[in-house]
Amino acid sequence: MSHDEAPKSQPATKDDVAHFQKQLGVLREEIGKVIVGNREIVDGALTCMLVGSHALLEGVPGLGKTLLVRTLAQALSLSFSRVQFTPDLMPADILGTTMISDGEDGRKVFEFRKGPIFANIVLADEINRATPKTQSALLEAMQEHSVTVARTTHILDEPFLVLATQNPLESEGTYPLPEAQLDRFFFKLHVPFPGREELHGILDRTTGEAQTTVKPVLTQKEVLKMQRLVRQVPVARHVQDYAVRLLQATHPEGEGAPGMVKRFVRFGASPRGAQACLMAAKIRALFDGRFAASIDDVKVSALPALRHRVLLNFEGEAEGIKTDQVLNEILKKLPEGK
Amino acid sequence: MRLGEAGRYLLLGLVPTLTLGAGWLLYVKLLQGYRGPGFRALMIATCVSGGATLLAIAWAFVRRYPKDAGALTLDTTGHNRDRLTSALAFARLPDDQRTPLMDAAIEDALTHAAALSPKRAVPLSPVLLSPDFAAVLMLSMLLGALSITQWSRRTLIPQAATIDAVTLTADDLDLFRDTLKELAGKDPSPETQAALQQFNQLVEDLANKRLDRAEAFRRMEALEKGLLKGREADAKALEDALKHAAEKLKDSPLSKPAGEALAKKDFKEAAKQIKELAAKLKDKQSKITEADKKRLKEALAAAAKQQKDAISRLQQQREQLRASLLAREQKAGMNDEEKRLLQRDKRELERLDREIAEKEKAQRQLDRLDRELSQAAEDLMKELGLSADDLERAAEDIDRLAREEMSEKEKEELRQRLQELRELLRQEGQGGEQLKKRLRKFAKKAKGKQGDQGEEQQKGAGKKDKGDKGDKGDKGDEDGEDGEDGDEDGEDGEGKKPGQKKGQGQEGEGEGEGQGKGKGKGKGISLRRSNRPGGSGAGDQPGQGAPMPGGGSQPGGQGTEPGGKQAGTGHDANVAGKGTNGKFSTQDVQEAATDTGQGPSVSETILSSSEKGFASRKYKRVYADYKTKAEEAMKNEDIPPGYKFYVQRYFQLIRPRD
Repeated sequence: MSHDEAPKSQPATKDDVAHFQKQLGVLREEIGKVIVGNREIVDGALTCMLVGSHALLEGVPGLGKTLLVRTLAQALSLSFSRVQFTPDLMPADILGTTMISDGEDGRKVFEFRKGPIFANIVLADEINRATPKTQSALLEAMQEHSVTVARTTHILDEPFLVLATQNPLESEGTYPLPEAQLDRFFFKLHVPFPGREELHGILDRTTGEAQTTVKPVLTQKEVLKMQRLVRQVPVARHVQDYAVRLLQATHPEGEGAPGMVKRFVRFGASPRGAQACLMAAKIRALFDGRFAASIDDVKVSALPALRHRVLLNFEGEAEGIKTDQVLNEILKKLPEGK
Repeated sequence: MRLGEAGRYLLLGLVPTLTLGAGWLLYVKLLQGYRGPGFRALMIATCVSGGATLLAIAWAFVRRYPKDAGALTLDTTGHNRDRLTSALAFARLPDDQRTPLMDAAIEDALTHAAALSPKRAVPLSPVLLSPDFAAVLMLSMLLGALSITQWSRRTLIPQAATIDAVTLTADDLDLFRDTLKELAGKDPSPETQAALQQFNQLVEDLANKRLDRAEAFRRMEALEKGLLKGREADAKALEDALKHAAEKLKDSPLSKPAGEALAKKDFKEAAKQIKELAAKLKDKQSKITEADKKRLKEALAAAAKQQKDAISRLQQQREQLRASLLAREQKAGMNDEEKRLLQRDKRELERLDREIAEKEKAQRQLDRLDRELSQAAEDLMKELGLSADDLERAAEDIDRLAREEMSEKEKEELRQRLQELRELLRQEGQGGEQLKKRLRKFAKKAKGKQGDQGEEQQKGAGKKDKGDKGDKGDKGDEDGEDGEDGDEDGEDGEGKKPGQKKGQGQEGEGEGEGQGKGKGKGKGISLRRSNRPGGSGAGDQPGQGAPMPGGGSQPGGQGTEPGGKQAGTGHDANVAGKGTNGKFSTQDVQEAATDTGQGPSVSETILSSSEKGFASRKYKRVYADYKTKAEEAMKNEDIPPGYKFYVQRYFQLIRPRD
C-alpha cells in the first residue's frame, strides 16, 4: 500500500479509542505468548509501529530482541525481513540493485531487484557492525519511507518499521551510529536483563515440548487505521508546552537547563525529540483509554525518546554520566506548570 | 494556594527574623544602655529579614499564577492525568475547532472531576500544623515573654585601661641600680646628677611595672637626647685642639710639663703645672731668663692662636673650593669625568663645613683658655705678675675642662647603660615569647645551669634528683633550707632540710657534697666557694663529685633527704671543713678540683662566683679583664650587633654581685 492509497482520515470518536484499546489488548496478548515480560519494550516497539517510525533496541545478546521483532511481525501479518549487519555489508545488499534481465520482447532490460528493506518490518540486527556507508543507506528509507536507486525512487509499503539492534558491550569492530542516523530512531529502548520470574517464564516456554505459535491478529489496514487515530489524539497547550520546555532544558544554554545539563551536555535533543515525546504521549493516552495526552505521558516517554538525542560532552563521558541521569534530573527539576 | 504559599514564605522568613530578633532583644535586655557595634547591625538585620518576609507574603497574595494552575494542581494531586486541565483547554476552543476526541476528553474529565479534592490539592496543614511552624510559634512566644520581662540593669563600670607592662628580672634591675649607685658616688655634675635621677626613676618605674614598652622607649629616648645635648663640642675636635695646644706649650721649657700633662689629657696635672708656672713667674727670686720668657711667650701665643689659625685655614680652603665649584657649575657642557669631580669636590666642601663647625664648637669651649694664654703671653713681657695671674686663670679653665671631661665620661657610661637597657628590652620584645624563652635559657646557661638538658640527663637515673640545695647547710643554728630548686626544666629536686642544725658559727667552708644512696648516676658537684657551710644532702642516687677542700669552720649538715643531681658519692677528705673562724672573716677558696670530665663545667664555677655576695676579688679581677677584652674586641672588630648583644648580656649575667 502506498501513501497515495491511504484512506482519508475521518474524525475519530470514543468508539475508535475503545476499539483501539481492544485491538491493542489482543495484539499484546498474542505477543505475550512468546515474549515474557519486557512490557515496556513491547509497548515501545508498538509505539514506534503506531507512529510509523523506528526503534533502536540496545541490549546484550540473548535477551530476545530479534524474537520480539519477529513475533511482532508475525502478529501483525506484515512482511518481515531480517538483515544481519556485518562490516562487509554493502548498501545494495539492503536496498536492492539493478540487474540486466531478458524483457518480454527478448531485449535485455534493466530490472530493479528489491533488497530486504522492502518489507513492513525490517530487523537490522547489530546495525553498528556495518560501515557508515551502509548505515547511511538506511537514512532515506527511515525518514522518507522511500528508496532511490539509479535515479528511480521506490516507495516503501506502509507501515514501514525498522527495528535495529545493537550490542552495548562489544565496541571493537563496530561503527557507532552517527548522530543523524540516531536521530531518525523514534525510540531507543534498553532491553533489560530479565528478572527471576521472567527467567522462569522463559525457561518454561522454551524448554518444554509445546511449541508456541503466533498468529496474525491485526491486518495492515487496521494498523494504518490505528496510526491515523494516534494523530488525532488532542494535546492541550500546557502538555505541549511542557514537551517544549523539556526539550529546551536538554540544551546547556537552554531556558530551565539544570546545572547537570550545563556541565555535562554538549548538544541537546533536536526538535524530533519533542515530536517523539508528544507522539509517544498520545499513544500512551490511548493505551490507557484516555482521549488526551498528559504531562505524565510526556514524562514517561521522555527517556526512550530523548536518551539517544542528547550528546554528552567530554567531561560527562569522563565522569561516566549516562544520558538517562541527565534526563531524570531535568524531569525532576522542570516545573509542570509555568 | 495563595494562603499555602504565603504560609510557606511565613515559615521560611520567620525563622531568621525571630532568631535575629531574639539576639537583638537579648542585647537590649542584657546590655541596657550599651550600644556596641553589633547593636545596630542586629537591629538592621532583624528589620530587613522581617520586611523581606512581609514582602514575600504580599507577593504570594498578589502575584499572577499561570493559567489553569489550580486545575493542574488538582490533576497532579488527584493523579488525574491532566484530564481537568486538558478539558479546560479544550473547552476554551471554538466549537468548530473541537474534535470529537476533545469532547470525549471533556466528558471524561467531568466524570473524573468528582474524585478530585481541592483540600488535598492545597492543604493548609502542611504549613500551619507542621512541627516547624509549631517551633516558630514557640520561639515567637518566647520572644514575647522575653520582651515583657524586666531584667536587672547591668551597669557597665568603666575600667581603666591596663598596660602591658615591661618586665625586667630582679637581677637586671639590680644591675642598673648598681650602676646608678656607682655613678652617683663619683660626685657628678648637676647635669649628670639630673640625668642619673631620671634614669633611676626609669628603673624604678620598670621595677614597679608602671611602664609599657612604648612609654619605656619614649623615656629612654628623651633621656639619651638629654645626655647628648650637653655635649658642646665633638670630643675628638676638642681633643685635637688640646693636643695641638699641648704641642705648642712643649716648645718652652717652662711650659713643657704642663704641655706634656695636657697631651696626656691629664687636666689636673696640667692645671697644677700651670699654677706652678704662675707661681714661678710671681716669685721674684726665680731666675727666668729673657730667652726663656721669650720662648714661653711664643709658646703661649702659639698655643692660644693655633686653633683659630686652624679654623682660619680651613675657612680659606673652603672659600677657595666654593669659588671653584661655583665657577665650574656655571660652565656648560661638562663631561662625565668633570661631573664626577664636581660631585667629589662638593662632598669635600661639605666635609670642610662639618670640620669647621666642629672646630668652632671646640674653640668656643677653649675660648677662655685661649684668651687667658694669649693675655699671659702679652703680659709676660710687661709684667710677670700680671702674666702669672693670667696663667692662674688659665689653670682654672683647665680645671673646668677636667670637670667637664669627668662629667662627659659619666654621661657616656650612663648612656651606654641606657643603650644596654634599651637593647635588652628591644631583644625581649621584638622576638615574642619564643625569643624571651631563648633569652631565659641563655641566661640560665650563662650562669652555669643546664637548662633543658638537665631533664634529659636525669632520665634513667630513676627519680628526679632531689635536694640540690641539701648542701645549703647554712649558718650555724639555722635549719638547712629546703631544697627549693625544683623549678622549671627539672634540674633540681627538693631535698628537705639538709644540714639540720649541725654546723655552728657562720660561714663554714666545707665542700664535701652529699652522699648518694640511690641507684642512679648523678652529676658532679658544683663548686662552692667559701663562706658557706657545706651541707650534705643525701641523694637518692650516687654522684661522682669532685672532692673539695673543706676550709670551713663547721661540719656540713647531714642531710636527711635525697640530694640533688649535683650530689655525689665523692667527698672531700675533710668533710667537716676547718674550724670556725672566730673572727668571722671570710676566705677565698682556690679551686683544687681537676676536670675529670664528670664534674661541673667552668660555667658552673661562674654560677657560684657570680652569685650575690659571693664575688671574690680574684673573680672580680678576672671578670674585669675579660669584659675589657670583650669590649675592645666588640669595638675594634666587625662583630654583628646581634652577637654584641649576647656578649654584653653574658657579661651582665656573670657579673660579680657585691
